[in-house]
Amino acid sequence: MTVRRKPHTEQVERLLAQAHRTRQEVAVGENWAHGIMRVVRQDAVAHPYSSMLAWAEPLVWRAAAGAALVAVVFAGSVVAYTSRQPEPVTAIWLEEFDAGPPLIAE
Amino acid sequence: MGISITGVQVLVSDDMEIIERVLRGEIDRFADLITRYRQHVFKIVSGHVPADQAAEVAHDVFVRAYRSLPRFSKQVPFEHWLSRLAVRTCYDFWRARRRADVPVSTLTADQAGWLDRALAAESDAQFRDQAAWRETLEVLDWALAQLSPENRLVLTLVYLEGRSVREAADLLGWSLVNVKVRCHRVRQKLRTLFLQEWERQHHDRTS
Repeated sequence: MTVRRKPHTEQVERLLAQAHRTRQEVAVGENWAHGIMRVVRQDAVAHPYSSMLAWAEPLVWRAAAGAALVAVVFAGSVVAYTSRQPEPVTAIWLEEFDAGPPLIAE
Repeated sequence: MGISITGVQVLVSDDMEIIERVLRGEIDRFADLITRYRQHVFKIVSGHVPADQAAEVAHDVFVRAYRSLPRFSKQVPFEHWLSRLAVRTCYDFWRARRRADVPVSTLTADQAGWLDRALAAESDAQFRDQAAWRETLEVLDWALAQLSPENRLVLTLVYLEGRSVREAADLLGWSLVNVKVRCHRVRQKLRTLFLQEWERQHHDRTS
């Protein structure tokens, strides 16, 4: 007859951790590495990254940074120009970029 | 035998050179990385997935590494980056399995007997003489199968492999708080699981 008492869960945890360390690493042959290289070569043909993407990423970042700088300079110049003009700047632009008379005569 | 600091630095700089060459189109140099790190990857993978799946998962790790190589920041050693990739590939393996709805097996009579003895024993000395850890590993696999992929990974990394919470968080790409909370919960869950099984065994015997 089994005597019922408080079970030792810490002990089970300890034993499981010890058992986990005895797990064997799987041994594979050279074919396994060849299999990876086969996939890698196929991938390289289908999606070559070395010639396109490697240098494209910093270029995109630089272009984005340049565009952000131009936007800041433009916004700054608009603010500076607006502060010197008594009329709202949009009104001046509307006059400057007047589309001209309508094509259909009334 | 340890590797000197200089040795590690040479290895790391050497890795960078290989990676640069692979990125420039010398695809065959990737085989050097496989040769160098296959053992490391297998060590990680073997601890997380069933032995019969380890080769396939390790294969996926290297294929993912190749595909992600342009995003390798070079701010951490390649070995560390690859370790993260290996752990996350194992995580994806269990998530895919979860989706496939693999039925959770119950403990056999032998495994239940082992759990009963382990829970009742005063010390673990009597278990050290066992030549084979087969039953112990079977119970461990049974317990792991009851957990979610997230909890399984945390339990394996922190409690079974003895990694620090910070290290586990880094490998999983999760926050420190997330891993700490999961650590606490998974341990509670594991204990509940063993006690429920123990209660069930005793109930079956008495009824």
